[in-house]
Amino acid sequence: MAPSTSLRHLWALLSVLAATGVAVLTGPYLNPTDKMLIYLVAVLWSALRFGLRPALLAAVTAILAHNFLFFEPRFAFGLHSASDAVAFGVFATTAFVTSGLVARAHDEAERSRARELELAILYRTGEEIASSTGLGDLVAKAERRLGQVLGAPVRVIADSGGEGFPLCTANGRVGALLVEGDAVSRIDEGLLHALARQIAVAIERERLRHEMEEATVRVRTERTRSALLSSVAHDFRTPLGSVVGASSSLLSREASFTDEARRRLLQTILESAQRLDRYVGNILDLTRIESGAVEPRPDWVDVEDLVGAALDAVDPVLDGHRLVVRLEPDLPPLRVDFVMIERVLVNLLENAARFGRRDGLIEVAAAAGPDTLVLDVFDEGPLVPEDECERLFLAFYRASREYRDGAGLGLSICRAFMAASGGAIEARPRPRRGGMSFVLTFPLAERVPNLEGLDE
Amino acid sequence: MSDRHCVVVVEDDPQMMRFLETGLDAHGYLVHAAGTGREGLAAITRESPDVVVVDLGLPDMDGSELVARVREWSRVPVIVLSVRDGAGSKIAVLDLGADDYVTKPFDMGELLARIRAALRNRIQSGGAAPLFRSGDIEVDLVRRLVRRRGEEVRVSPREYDLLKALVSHAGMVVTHQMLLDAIWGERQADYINYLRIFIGRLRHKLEGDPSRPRLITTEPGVGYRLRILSE
Repeated sequence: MAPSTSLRHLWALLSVLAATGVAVLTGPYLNPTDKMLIYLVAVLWSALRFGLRPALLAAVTAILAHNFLFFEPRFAFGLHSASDAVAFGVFATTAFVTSGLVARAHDEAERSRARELELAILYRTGEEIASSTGLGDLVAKAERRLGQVLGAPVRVIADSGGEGFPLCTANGRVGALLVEGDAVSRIDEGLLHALARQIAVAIERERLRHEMEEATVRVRTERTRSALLSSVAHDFRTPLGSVVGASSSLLSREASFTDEARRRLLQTILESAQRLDRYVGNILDLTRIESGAVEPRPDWVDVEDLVGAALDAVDPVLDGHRLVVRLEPDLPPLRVDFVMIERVLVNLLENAARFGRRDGLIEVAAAAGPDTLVLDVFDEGPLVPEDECERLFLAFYRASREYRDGAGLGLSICRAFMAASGGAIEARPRPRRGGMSFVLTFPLAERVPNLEGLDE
Repeated sequence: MSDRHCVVVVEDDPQMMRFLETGLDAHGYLVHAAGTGREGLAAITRESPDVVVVDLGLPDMDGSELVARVREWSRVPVIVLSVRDGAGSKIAVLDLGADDYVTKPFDMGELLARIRAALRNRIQSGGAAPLFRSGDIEVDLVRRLVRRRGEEVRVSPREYDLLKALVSHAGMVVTHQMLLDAIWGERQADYINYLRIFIGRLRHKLEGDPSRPRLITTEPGVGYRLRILSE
C-alpha cells in the first residue's frame, strides 16, 4: 500500500531534515554552495518516492533552510553577495524543475500501476461472472467478488426498481448495488462504474438468455400441443370408428352375418382397441417426457431377460413374421431401467411388425464391445433414406407415404427413454439386406457384481 | 348350493362390470357384483368367496385399502385390476397382500388363468402337491428332482430353491423381493442381478428357446411368473 498523503509530506520534510543534519555535520569541509547539492539529493529523493507535492514541499523547505543556515548572513533570510544570489537561483530552479520532472514520472508510474490493478480487478470480475450459470449464481458470484474488491459486504439487486448504486446498461437500469457503510468511497469512482457496468451487462445477458429459453419451450409446447390435438382427432377417432362401426353392425337386427363375417368384425374391434391402447400408452409416455417426469430407476438387467419380456409383450403382433433372435452368449448385464428399455424394445418391435414386409424377417441381435453393448432390431420394411433417418425421432413425424397409421410417437419416446438411460438410438437403412435397422447403444457399467460364492 | 366357485367382483365401472359378470358367468363362476369398496367388504364377509377381483380405483376407497382391510381377517385370494402406470403401484398392492394382478386392458383368458391359478394355490396351501407339471417340465418336490421331457435336469441348490419358490406360486406373479427372500433369506438390493442370472440359467436349462421364455416369464419391474402350460 502507498503511504497516505500527509505521511508522504512528512517523509519529504524528514528527508530535508536529514539533509540539514548532513550539511551541518560537514561543517567547514564543504562550502555553502556544495551543501546545496546535499539538499538537492533530498529533494530528488522525495520526488522519486512521494510524487510532485511532497517534492515541491521539500524543495521550498530545502531552499529556505539552506538560505537560513548556510548563506551569509547566517541564521537570517537574505543574500549576501551576487555569487550567492546566482547559486541560490540555480539551486532553486534545479530543485523545482528536477523535482517536477522526477515527480511526474513517479506519478505516471503510480497511475499506470493503479490502472493495471483496476484492469486486473475488472478482468477477474468479468471472468468470474462469465462462468455463472443462471441469474442466482451470477448474483452470488458478483456479490462475493465485489465484497472482495470493496472489503465490505455487498448485495446485488437484480431488479430495475429500488435504491442503491444503480446498475445500468444501454437499455436502462437492470439492478442496484447495496454496499454496507462508506466502502464505495474507498475505491476509485471510475473503477466502481466499470464494475457496475460489467455486472449490469451480465445481468441483462442472463435475463435475455432466460427469456429466450422460455420462448423456445413455449414454442415447442405449443407445437406439441397442436400436433397432439390433430393427432388425437385422427388417431383416436379412426380406431374408435372401427369399434363403433363393427359392434353396431353386430348388434343390428336386420343384418345376418356368417360365422366368418362375425369373427372378422370381432377381430376388427379387438385390433382397433389394442391400437387405441398402444396409442394411449404412447401419449402417456410422451406427456411424462414433456413434463420432465422421466426418472429412470436403474437396476442390473440381463439382456436376454429384457428381450424375452419385450417379445412376450408383442407376441400377438409378431404373427405372420419370421422372428430371429441372435444374442451373443454371456452378455454383460446392463445398468438400466428395465421397464423403460422394455418399452423401447416393444415400440421398435411393434414398428417392425407394422412396417416390415408380410412374412418378412424380424431380427433382434445383441453384441457386446469393450465398453458398449449394441442391440439391433431389424425388419424387412421400406427403406427410409439416410438423410430422413434423424427426423424419424421427432414427435408426430411420419416417414413417407408407406407409414400411414400410427401417430409417429413411438420413436420419439424411444429416443427420450434411451437418452434418459445414458444410451443412444439410431435408424440405419440396410439396403443390401433390404430393410431398416434400429440400433440401441448402451454404455457398459464398469463394476459388475460377481457371482462367486452365491451358489453354495 | 351349486358347486360353482364363487367370485366377488368389486368394480365401479358399469361396462367393465357387465363384461366381467358376463364373462365369468359364461365360464361357470358364480359372480357377486359390488360397485363400491364398502359393498365389496360386505359381500366378501357375507359370501366367503373363493376369489376376490378388485379394481384399484373405487369411488369410496382405494382398492389397495380394501386389500389391506380384507387381509386383516381373510386369506381369500385377491386379484387386482390395475392400469398401466408403472411397476411401483403393483408392487405396493402385492406387498399389502394381493395375490396377483391383471393390467387393463386385459383379455378374458388372462383373467381366467389368474383366477384358476389362485384357486389352485388356495387348494394346495395346506400342503403342496408333491409333483408339479407344466408343459414338458416336471418338478418332484419330494425327491428334489427336475425333469424335462422325462430326462433329469441338473440344477444347483440355489436354482432349485428359486424354482421351488416359483412352483409354490405357480401361475401367479412372484415379486423380486419374495424370490430374494426365498433364496438368500436376506434383503440386499444388489442381489437382484444374481436373481436375474439365476433366472437366466434356469431358462437355459428348462426353456426350448431361452430368449422367448414360455415357462418362466418376466413381469417387468415386478417379478416373475411360472406359467402352467398344457402338455
